[in-house]
Amino acid sequence: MKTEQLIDALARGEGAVKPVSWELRLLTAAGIGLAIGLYLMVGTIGFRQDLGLHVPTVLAKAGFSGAFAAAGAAALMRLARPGVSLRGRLTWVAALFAIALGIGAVALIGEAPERRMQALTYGYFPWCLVLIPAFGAPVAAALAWFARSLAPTRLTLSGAAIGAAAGGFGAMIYAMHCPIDGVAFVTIWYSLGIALSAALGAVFAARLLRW
Amino acid sequence: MAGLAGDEAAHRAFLALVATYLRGFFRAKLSGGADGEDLLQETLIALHTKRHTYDPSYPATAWIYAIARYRLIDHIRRTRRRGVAVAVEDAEGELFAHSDSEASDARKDVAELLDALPAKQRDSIRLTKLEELPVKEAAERLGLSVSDVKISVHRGLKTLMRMMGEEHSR
Repeated sequence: MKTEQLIDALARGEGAVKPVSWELRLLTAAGIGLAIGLYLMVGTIGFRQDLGLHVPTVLAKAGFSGAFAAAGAAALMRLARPGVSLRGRLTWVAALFAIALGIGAVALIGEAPERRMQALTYGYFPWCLVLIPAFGAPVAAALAWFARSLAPTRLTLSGAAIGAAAGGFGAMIYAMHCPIDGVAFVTIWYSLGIALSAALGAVFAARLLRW
Repeated sequence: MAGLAGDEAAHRAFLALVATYLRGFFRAKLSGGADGEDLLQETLIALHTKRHTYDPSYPATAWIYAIARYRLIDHIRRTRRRGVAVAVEDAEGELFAHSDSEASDARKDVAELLDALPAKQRDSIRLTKLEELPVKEAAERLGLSVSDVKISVHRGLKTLMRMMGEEHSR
């Protein structure tokens, strides 16, 4: 087929493009993913048993995680549309990681040297590294669907943004289970869990987001 | 702009104008050959099916070239993955494709690819795009609702774009 014919065929009989609120669609996708992730958490490891006693702390942890979710989603909103500049949205995400790890380091230094290891690990393997990306996975799937309905042209970056946002949501969910409230523990392991989620997003982006 | 609002003539003029620019763009990037025209058609379909992603507060050229660049990178990735053997097979075809008269003829026929689509999508595209029926009439003929036809056309075009890409890398 000649290109001219293709152009004719494409243009013929097409109506106006309906304006869609992409922000609303992004929020809907994230909300659905969040609900599924929450359901998974409640159905498996459950809320922390003393949740009622620690509402402000849990809210603070969820808010900390939510900042990553918001920054990642803001970056994705721009990455998903061709030719729209990022305007430093990725810098926000990077800045959050830097601030979180900075706070974690300061908190660790503040501890007595012999207590540092305890403050960092609480004697456990940091399961949040695994569970944050796991509970964020439904959000990642929903955001990938969202991104595909637009047209991301920088796949790896978009995948990283999806991963960071999903990790942020996953950490919000995990915060309602995790019984450890130490500042160093939360800032360091949560942000590493989110970073792992972002890395996974970047790795799988080319396959999942290609259009 | 008017094309987005549903002005058919404006949309056609927009695509035609863009095609002339992109032809030069792909020619420069691919150093000629029929691939350029295939890629151009792929990009035009992409621009068309993804036109809702254009944000009017940004320059249209940035949007167009971002999509064109994406299709180009996608093309390069695909051809590289298939290895060099493909290039040898294609060499004969390319000799012919280089002649000027065929410059606007893509190597593969969109019309042929249409046959591979599901019946609903194929018929919707045929009636509305090739036989120029109004959507309403096409819907009546196919016994579908108007929005069903529109969706089928949209989906069909997307699949077509993907098939062009795959055909390409063979």
